[in-house]
Amino acid sequence: MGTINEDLRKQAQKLLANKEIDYFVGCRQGTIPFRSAPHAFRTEAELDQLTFDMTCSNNLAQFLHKNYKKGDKIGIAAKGCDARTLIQLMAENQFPREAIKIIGVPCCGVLDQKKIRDKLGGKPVLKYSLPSMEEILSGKKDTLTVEGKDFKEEIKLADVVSNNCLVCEYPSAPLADTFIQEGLKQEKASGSMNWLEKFEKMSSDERWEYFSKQYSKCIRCYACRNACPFCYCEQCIVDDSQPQWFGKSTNLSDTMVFHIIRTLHVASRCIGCGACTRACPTGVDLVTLGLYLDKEIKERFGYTPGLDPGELPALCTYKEDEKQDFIM
Amino acid sequence: MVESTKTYIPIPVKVSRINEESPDRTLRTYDLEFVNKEDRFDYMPGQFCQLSIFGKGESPLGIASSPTETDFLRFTVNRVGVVTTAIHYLEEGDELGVRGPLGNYYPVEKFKGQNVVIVSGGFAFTTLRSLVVYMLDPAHRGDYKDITVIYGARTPDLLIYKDELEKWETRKDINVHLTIDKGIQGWKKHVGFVPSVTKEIAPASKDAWVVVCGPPIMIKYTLPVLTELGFPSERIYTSLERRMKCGIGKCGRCNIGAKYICLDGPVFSLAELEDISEPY
Amino acid sequence: MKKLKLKKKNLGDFINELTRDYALYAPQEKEGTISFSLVEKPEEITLDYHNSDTSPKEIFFPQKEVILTYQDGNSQPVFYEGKPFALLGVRPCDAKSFQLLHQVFSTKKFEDPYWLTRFKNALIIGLACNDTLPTCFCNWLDGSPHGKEGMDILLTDLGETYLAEAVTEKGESLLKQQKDWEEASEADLKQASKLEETALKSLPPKIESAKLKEKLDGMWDDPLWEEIAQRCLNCGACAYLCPTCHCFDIQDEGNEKNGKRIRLWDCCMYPLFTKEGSGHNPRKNPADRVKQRFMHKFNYIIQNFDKYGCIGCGRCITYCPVNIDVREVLKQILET
Repeated sequence: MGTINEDLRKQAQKLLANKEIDYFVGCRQGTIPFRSAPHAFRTEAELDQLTFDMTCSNNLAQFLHKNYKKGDKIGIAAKGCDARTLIQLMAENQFPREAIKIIGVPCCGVLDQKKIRDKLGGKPVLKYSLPSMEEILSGKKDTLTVEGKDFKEEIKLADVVSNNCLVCEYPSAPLADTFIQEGLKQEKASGSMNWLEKFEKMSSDERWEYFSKQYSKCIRCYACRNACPFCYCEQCIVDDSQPQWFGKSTNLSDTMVFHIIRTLHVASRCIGCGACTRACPTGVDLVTLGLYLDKEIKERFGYTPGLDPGELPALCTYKEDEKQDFIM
Repeated sequence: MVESTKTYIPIPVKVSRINEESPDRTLRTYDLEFVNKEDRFDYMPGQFCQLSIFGKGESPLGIASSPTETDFLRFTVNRVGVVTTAIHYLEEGDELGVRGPLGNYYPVEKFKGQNVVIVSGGFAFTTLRSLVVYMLDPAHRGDYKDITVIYGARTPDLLIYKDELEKWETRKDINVHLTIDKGIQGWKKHVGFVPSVTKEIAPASKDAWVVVCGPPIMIKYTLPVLTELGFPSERIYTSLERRMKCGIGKCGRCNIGAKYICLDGPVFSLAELEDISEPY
Repeated sequence: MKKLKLKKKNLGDFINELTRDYALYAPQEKEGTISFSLVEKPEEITLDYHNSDTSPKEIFFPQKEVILTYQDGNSQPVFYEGKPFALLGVRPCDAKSFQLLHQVFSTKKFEDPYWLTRFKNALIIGLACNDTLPTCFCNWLDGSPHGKEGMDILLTDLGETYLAEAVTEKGESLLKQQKDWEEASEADLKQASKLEETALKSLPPKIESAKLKEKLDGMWDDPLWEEIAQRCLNCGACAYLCPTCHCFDIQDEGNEKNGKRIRLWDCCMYPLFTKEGSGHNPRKNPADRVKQRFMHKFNYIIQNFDKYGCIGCGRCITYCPVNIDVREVLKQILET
């Protein structure tokens, strides 16, 4: 057995060589620290660039879905959330199970660029070194090293993984054709209360204030919507013109309506990958509300999205014996 | 440079006359009068305006009246979007706004002393009406030699400005060829698509300029016919349309290549367009 | 032109002086985002920063701006009426972007009165970059970390003091009023040029940028656009952070009787940008829109304004959610 990356390349190479797939969706190293680039690997020669580590924060299922054409056969390196996205999209009839070869890769959470930046007070990182996936998985290492002009620091990984990873129940694909290795559940950031628990303890006034502050940072670039694997409407409600339902400005009333509608539209489908929050250039917290709704839906309907390609999302279906006490 | 503080301010105008152009009621012609006479502006055939309905927005429309028709501005409005639908709700006497004139115009100076051929289809005839009326005006008719109009639509009903076309057909100083896609009973004029009728009529290209406006598919098939007839691309003109907002080359959406349709156009010679990679 | 020295401990006085005559905007951090915002408390200014997350163009070209109000068919333009703007601490790349935007908004037959009202009397005090970011590449696009284009005064951080160089007459007259600032010495100037040299060295090696326009002339049908579009989300993060993007939409807020007409930033990445009332969209494929963005910056603007449409600030590189790195794209263009 080789390293995780070697195994991944080998498996992808086999799929391409046997013509089992038209292309393989994975990440290649990015051009700036802590970023990787999603990529469609079409030839075996390209595969030496295929990589998987904690910088692979994009939801690759979103990339796959965006490029999927009927009849395509596609392989993918799937973290738990990528795989759950695929499963959920299958439940929504976006592509058949047999079109996708899923290779489950072990996830230890993905890095949040903004958390690293905040931790360093904006000092630019010129060099960094991440421990290997093996070292992290085996618990041998739990820090990364960053270097800049006049500093070198060790940062605890748990402090800089995306918030959603801290509450992730499925670091490994619930469904895959093959697995490289099992993923790792994340520990809470050192010394801090889980932020979702913190949110739950807020009064409604505090929540209102929190979200008002968050949504007032929105610049209406729609990176969140476009990065979201479940925002695939042919035309988004914000783009309707006859009638135009709400304004396109950055006034809080407009941005809030947009984000709340979007959150509600993906509720019971959102698998909490956090792509929205990581895509946001101004650091709006978008995933908290989504994850909170997910939790509510799980409690009320016993439903968790992205586990069964044959099951419709809770809010898209109706069971006679469902609890209805929240209606009246 | 245009006086700038009013750049985005629509001039108030009033609907003085509405004419239904098509039986399906999607095409209407509006004659507009300036609410304040001092707001009247000069313009040339081929230019356009932004018609403004407050609360709805603006829509760019080619000016169908001729500069020689000094007491009204004419626009033919196809009901497709928010603003054009709002315009269709207007009645005679209602007010709206107009911002213009915008864009360049047909090169009427270059046409002087030459033959002019006009090829058009559907409701794209609007600014060409402006051009024809301008050239037919007694003050200008002497500047041009033969004027030929080839104009087609799917059905006779869909030809716009029918009354005027009939009058032109009786005149000696303009040759009008009307065509419909498929023959119907009682129609004694041309039958067939504009490109093939153009080929059949074969207007001479010597000392001649041609202006062609219509749906993209008509333009696509007419251009090779014109080339075959010997028109060099420097003498073939057309007018383009794109979604626009500012109309003055700032808002950035109506470009084809490095040219803004609102600023460098809407009138382009085929020669100019051949230098641009982006499809028009 | 005057070259003086401003002691850092006297910066507060200078700021107070500026706020008397100007609406002063300077980099300030709010909720983790550094932007140029109106200075209310001088101590909240941060000049020890790399660059603002959002572009200072938003002062002269706000994301949302009322252009007119209307009532019963009559409309009135609405112009900025406050004190003239002063910007303190503008990075050389951003100062350069104002020059391009000014050209876009004030030439080619029409002037944009809203931009002019805000921009024409503005005072721009720049701040040289002694320290660059790994995403900076102003040197590829006729810029420099100590560039002065678009500024009235350039400040260079010399440690205890700022070297203050007048660039325009306006900057000169402001410096002349600073009676208690020392003249800069030869050693100060030498130190500044050394800092510039170091900063320049920290930037990536230059590419043949002058060839970009010509290369792009022949790349209309290149597969590169499809390749980028595969991962491009078609969001507006790049455009909305970009200091040179100037596209906008015009919308009405209100009913037919009264309300206002506003303009809002818009973005060529959005399908709606060019979609016509009929439903026809001349740039319906994501790749068409990706191509428009790069063509606009590195070909069309060069044709129309004889300068690059990008100033190399690197904001789009930092924030692109799928790591589309304009430097990588430019290299790919040159390799084609």
